[in-house]
Parts: sequence; C-alpha cells; structure tokens
Amino acid sequence: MDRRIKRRHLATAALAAGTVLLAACSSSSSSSSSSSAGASSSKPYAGQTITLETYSAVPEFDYYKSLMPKFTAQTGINVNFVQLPVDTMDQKIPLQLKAKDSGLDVFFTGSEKITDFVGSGGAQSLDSFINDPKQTPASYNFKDFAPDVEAACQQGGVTYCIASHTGGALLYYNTKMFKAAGITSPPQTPDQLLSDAAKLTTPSHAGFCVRADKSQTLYDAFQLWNWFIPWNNPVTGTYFDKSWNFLIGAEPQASQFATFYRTLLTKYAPKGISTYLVTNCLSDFQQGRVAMWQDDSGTIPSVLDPNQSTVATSTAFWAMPCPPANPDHCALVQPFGVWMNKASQHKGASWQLIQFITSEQTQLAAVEAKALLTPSRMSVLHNPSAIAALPPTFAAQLTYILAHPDVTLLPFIPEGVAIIPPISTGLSDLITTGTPVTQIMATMTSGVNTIMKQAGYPKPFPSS
Amino acid sequence: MRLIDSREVRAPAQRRGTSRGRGTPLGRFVERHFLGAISLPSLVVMLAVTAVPFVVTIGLAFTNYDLVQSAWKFTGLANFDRMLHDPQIPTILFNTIYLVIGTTVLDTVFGMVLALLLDTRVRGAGVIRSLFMLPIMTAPIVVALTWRAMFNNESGWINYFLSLVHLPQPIWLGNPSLAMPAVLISDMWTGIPFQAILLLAGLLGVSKDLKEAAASDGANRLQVFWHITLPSMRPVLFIAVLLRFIESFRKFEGIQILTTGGPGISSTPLNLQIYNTGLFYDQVGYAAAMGVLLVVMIAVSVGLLYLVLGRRR
Repeated sequence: MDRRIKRRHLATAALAAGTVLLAACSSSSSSSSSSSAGASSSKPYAGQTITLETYSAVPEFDYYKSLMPKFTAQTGINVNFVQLPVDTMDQKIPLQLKAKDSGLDVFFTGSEKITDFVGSGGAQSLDSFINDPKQTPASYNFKDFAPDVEAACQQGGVTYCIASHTGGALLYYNTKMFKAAGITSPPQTPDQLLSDAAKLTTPSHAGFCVRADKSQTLYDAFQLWNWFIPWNNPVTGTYFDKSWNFLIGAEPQASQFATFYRTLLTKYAPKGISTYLVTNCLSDFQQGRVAMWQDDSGTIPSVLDPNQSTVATSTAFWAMPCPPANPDHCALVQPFGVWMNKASQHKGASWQLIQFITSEQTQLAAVEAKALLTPSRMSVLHNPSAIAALPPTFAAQLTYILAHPDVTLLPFIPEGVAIIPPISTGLSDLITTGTPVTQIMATMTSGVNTIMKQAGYPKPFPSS
Repeated sequence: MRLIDSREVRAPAQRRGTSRGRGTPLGRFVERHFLGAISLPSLVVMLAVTAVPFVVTIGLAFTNYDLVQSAWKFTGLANFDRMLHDPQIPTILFNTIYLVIGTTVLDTVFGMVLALLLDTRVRGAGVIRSLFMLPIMTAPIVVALTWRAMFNNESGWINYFLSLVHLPQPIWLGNPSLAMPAVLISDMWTGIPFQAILLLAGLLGVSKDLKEAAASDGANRLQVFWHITLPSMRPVLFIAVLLRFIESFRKFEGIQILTTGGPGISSTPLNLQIYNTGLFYDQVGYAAAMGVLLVVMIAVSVGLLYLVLGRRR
C-alpha cells in the first residue's frame, strides 16, 4: 500500500517536472523565435516592455504619456509609464539606482544630481548610443541641443542624460491683486519684493508663496539666495569658492539672506508655509489665495489652464533683475534630463524611447500643445510657431533668464547631495523657530564644513 | 468517564520513530537531531538576512564608506567621534525616546481601555471587534497620507472641527513643538486597536470565577480590575508592551510621509536619520555607526523592560 502511494507520488512529481520543463522549453523557444523575428524586422526591440518613471501633475510629462501609443505603434516597444508625486519620485529613483534595480529603464530628473548618479554607478553613459549610426539616425541631430543646457547633463566629457527642457526661476504674479494693491510694476529688488508682499497680504490672500517644506525647501531658497550670494564658478556656483569656503554661510550676505527669507515667509506667506510643497503653492496661486509665487517655469501650463486655474487670465511672469551682489548668474536654470538606468536590461529599447521623447518633432509638438515652454533644442527655441505659443509675458523673461543662468542647483562635486541636510534643516529652522539668524547660519556652515572635512576636503579644485 | 492516557497517544509515534531509527543511517541521524534538522533552513535564512548584514553594518561603522566615492578606508572610531560632536544627535535621540515612550504608553493605556469596553457582552460586539481590525489592515503609507490631509491647517478636518467649537487651529505639521504630537496622534489610530486586540485576548483568558468571587466579597469594579484582572493578564500585557516598544523604534513610513522629520529635525527619530544619511545622502559609514547606536539603544531598553516587567511574570 505504502509503496503504491510512493510510486503514485513519484509519478505525479515526474509528470509535474516534465510539464514545467516542457513549458520552459516552449517559452524559451517562442521568445527566441519572437526576438529573432523582431531582429529581422524594422522594429528590432518589438515586444519588449520598458519602464519610464517621472513626476505626476506636470503637463509636459502628461503630454509625453499621451504619445506612448504612437511610440508603441512605431517601434513595437511597450512603455510602462509610471508617474508619482515629486517628493515620492525624488526618493524612489535614487534608491532604485543605488540598488541596481533593473525594473527601471528610463527616468526624468534634474541634472543637478549627476555627480551622485554617476558616482553611485546608476547612470548609463549615452555616448555609445549617440555615436552609433545604427542606433541613432543623423536626423536626430544631437548638436541641436543648447550647449549650455546639455553641458549640465555631461560629466568628464561623457553624456549621461539628454536635456528635455530647462526650468527657469520665475515670479508668478496676479495682475488683479497687484492693481488692487496699487502696485504698478513687478519688484526690481528684494527690498521691493518685501514691501510688495506686505501690501499684497490681506485676510483673503497671502502676499507670497514658495515651497518651504523641508523636503523641497532648497529648490526655492536657492532662487532667493541668488539675489544675495555672489556666484563664484561653474562647478560650485554659489555654494563654495575655489578654496572651499561655504559662501552661503559667509557673512554679511548670510544674515542678509536669512533675514529676508525669514521675514518674507513668516509674515507674508500662507499659514503653515513650512509644510508647503510645490503642489500647495500651485493650488493656492490657482485659487487666488496667494498674490506672488516664486518657482520653476515648468508649472506655467497648469496656471494658465482655465480648467484648473481661476487666475488664468490674470497671471503674468517676471524674472527679478540680477542685483549688484550677483550681476551675471542670478537666475536658476535647471536643465531637466532623460536618463537611462545602467542596470536596465533593455538599453536598446530605452534609447529608442529617449530619442523619441527628445526628438525635434516631439518637442515642437509639446510646445505647440502648451505642455512645454522651455525646450532644450535650439531649432525649437527659434521656431516661429513655438515662439507664438509662449505666454506673452514669458518670452522676454525667458531670454533674460537664459542670459543670466546659474545651473549649479547643487555643486557638481561628489558631496553635492550630502551637504543638503544641514542647509535644508537651517532653512526650515529659519521659519519655524526664533533662533537668531546668525546662529542658524553658523550651524548650517558648521554642518556643511563637517561633511566636507569628513570627505577629505580641502582638495584640489576640479577643472570642470 | 475514562480520561485518555497520554502514554497511549504517544506510544504509536514512539514505535514508529523507533522503527525508523533502526533503518538507514540517515534515518537515525534525523531521529537524533530532529529539532536541529527542521530548524536548519530557517536558521540559514536568518543568518543570511539578519546576522550577516548586522555584522557588515558593524564593520561599515568603522569606515568612511560612501555610495558616491569609489575609494574608502578604515577610519577607526571617526564616525563615532563625529556622532559625539554632531549637534543634531541630542535632538534626534530625544525624539527617538519621545516617540518610543509616547507611542508605547498611549497605545497601551488607550488600548487597555478599548479592550475593556470590547470585553463587555453587548449585542454586535463581534462586529465592533472586527471593525477595530480595519486600521491595522490599512497600509501605513495610506494612513500617513490621510493624516497629512487631516492635519492640513487650511483644509484639514481637525482644524475644521476645532473651528466649529471656537478653539485655536494650530499649524500641526509646521510647528516644531506640535509635529511630534501629530506623529503620536496618527500612530494611535493604528496602535490602539493593535494593543486592544492583544489585550482583549488576555482579558478573555482571565478567570470569571475569580472576578465573581471578588465581586461577591464586596470588591468594586476598579478593585476587581486592579487586583484580579491586571495581575492575571500580566504576561499578555508584557508581550503587548514589548511588541509596541520595538515597533516604535522601527516607526518610519508614517513620519517620512507626515513630516519628513521636520520642521528642521524636530520630528526626526534615529531610524529616519539613518535612512536619510545612508541611502539618500550616501554616507553609509556614518549611517552604519548610527545604526550601531540604534541597536544598542534597543538592546539596552528591551533588557531594562525585561528587568522591570518581565521579572515579575
């Protein structure tokens, strides 16, 4: 009896093993046959599925998502288009890169993290794809990308991302509220901005908004300290001079900036500004709960869309003129790039997608659809139909921003990301505590210096 | 009625075991080392995913290992020296202790109250008990996002209800002195039902005869609870406190979503700081040193808990 049961079990196990083996063989043969069939056709990567990750609630990325069926029809490549809120994605992508997660193929993010991504071995070099005529047709024209913008995607002469657009620091302002407050023109100096914010603060709306949540505060504070801290060089921007002195913490400009930041945000910003993310400022501005908002130009389409915004017809844009303290590089220009994960197992297909998104046709169509305002291709920037599609008050400001660029949102050194915590903590402390500004800025400086010292600085200053 | 003799139950199994033991050498080996053999696979997995990373972490704590820099070296006690002089560490340790004690005490006390209420014989008690499982089954990220919306000072429900009764409407998440209380409040939503379910199991095991005897001797409800119920459920209470205590040290998603540890570092506990330092800001060596500190903190405090509560079981 026992033996019969044992034999039956053995027979069942053998049958199951055989079935699994057969299934594996048939699937491998079918996959190999499909891939060989694909290779012989004009769609060499047909049937592959790749994952692209980017932010949600950004018109440009929503537009690219709408083009994915067209891309799949052209190439046979399926795209898993993942969109998450900015703060979530900013946490997720670096972790995936450091974990060598092959589940991610292509992603969008700012170029300021290039040293971190390259240093941790997460970013794939794109030169071999760009220079391979089999992978990249001449019509793609890589040289069409604005050199200053594309340079932010390169390190040591190697290209790691393709610039999709460049964000510019802008003041969004509500013309009706300006008129009601008796203000005839946008502010020319930080002091004027403070006095305008005071006039524009009423019981029904706040005068000024920036994202000041600890997780995003550096992005907007950077735009404001550029009016106080002198830009030093293209590698470390406003962060360090060539002797590695931390410029943001250097007096007297440190206290001037800190006092300005504290006054502006504690007196004239919405209640709870210290927890404000970009979406909070956007929503407040769209609903007429705030009169001025300093942020990236990327959200212009959301503000001008009458379906989302009650201030679509009363919004204008302004780039604050560079003050004498920082005359030539006071405007944040944050090149945004499309990257490939080095751990991706579908690099050929990923490159096809990157080319598609950054092609001249796609960029021009995105501009004409009012989903993209700051294209990275020169041909699109100078295209009359693209210029005609820009908001009236924006075109002149964009010219000013691009003429006074600071692309060093983070210093282009391996410790660029590591020095964020003491800075963001200090910025948060400025608006949530009563600690003297000199003390907060000194603590910030000490925190940055400790991290730099731990990393072996002062080192020879990098040439580029 | 004849009770079953345990020897009768055991005998066939023993006979079977003996007959196998007399079989192949492998069979005899398995028979002799049965417990060791069946626990070996899980032991190997445990070693691979817990002990090995733990030893590696201790090793990394003595290096300047960085996710961005390719070269790294042994730096002795430099990371621990940096931790001693890091001006943020005292605040972070205070936050950790605040969080652990706060959540453990509040969740256990309110959990006990809830368990006592659920122990009453009312119609529909089973349904109510099931409903209290819902918060435990909800993903921590969803809980945190929901609480973030509720704490919103402009459009959140909490300030809305406070405004209805003309109470001040604070900026919960943007005020350093209110951020950690907000974290505790959000934690209570899941922590209290969890404790209540555990403690209810203990309550159901308390002898009714004892309680009735005490009541018939003139003890009031409070006296019955204090002198009969509480001592009887001390083992369960100890386990409930211990689990909550350890869980509090691990609390992460809620804080990351709710406050990101801010404003400043006012709601940053040690584990969040370790995550940020190591994985987000790349300084793995320093993060490992903080990890060692966290392990020491957990070991010492759990040991103290055993001494204070466990010894009297």
